Amino acid sequence: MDRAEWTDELLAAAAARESSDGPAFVTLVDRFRQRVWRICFRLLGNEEDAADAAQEVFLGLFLHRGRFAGRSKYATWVHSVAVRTCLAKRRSRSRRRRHEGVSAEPGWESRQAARPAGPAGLALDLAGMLESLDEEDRAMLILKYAESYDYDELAAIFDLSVSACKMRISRAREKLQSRYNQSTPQNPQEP
Amino acid sequence: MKDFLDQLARLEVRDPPPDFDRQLHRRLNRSLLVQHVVELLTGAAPWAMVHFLHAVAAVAAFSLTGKFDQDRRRAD
Repeated sequence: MDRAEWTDELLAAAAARESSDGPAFVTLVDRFRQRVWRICFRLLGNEEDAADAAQEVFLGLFLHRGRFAGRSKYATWVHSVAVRTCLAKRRSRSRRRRHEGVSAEPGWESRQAARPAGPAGLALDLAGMLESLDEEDRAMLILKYAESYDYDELAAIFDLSVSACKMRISRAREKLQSRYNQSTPQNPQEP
Repeated sequence: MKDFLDQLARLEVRDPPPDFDRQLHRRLNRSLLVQHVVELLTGAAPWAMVHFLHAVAAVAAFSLTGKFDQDRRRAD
């Protein structure tokens, strides 16, 4: 059977037996490159950090290729490694900025004041409003609405129950809603 | 609000940079090199050190006693 037809789990087992980045691991990288990149780009918001994080994800997968226990699907495992790597990167980025005396991310209030009128302003402010959420809630919301993950996948990625995921997303939506309501009256041009 | 969240899906995600794979393999090679050096230091270096110390001990014993431990040499 051609290696391209192997399941992810078979490839992962073959990669674990390889002593270096052999054909099985290269096939896995090919298979997951786009997905991991999308998660990293969505969660980190810029190309440079996303590329760094995505490479770190594959490096981690390579170094710990023997640790996949098969309790979940390999794809879920890869996605959860990608999410954890991005969250760790965001935390270290904000710690570094705090250490350097720069504001962690431009605050939602300051973005709000600088926001242009109309739909463009709404689009620009989307990232700002998401910054006001807890890191994990933000990641969950992005994966749910931007990448169309279902609750089962999110529960497996974040190691939570499905009901806990639903509750956190609902609370995050409520928080965003209240931010959104605060922002709309200041912008008379919006419908 | 629904439209607002729908915007998330409409935000464009660029393709990975063209040299993504090259950079990844460079990092992989660097980490493999480090891994092999660590393996060498933790595996081969103590083995070499033990054999070196055996030789030094044998020289010292021969200098002091004038006898060479033939049996031990054969056992090795």
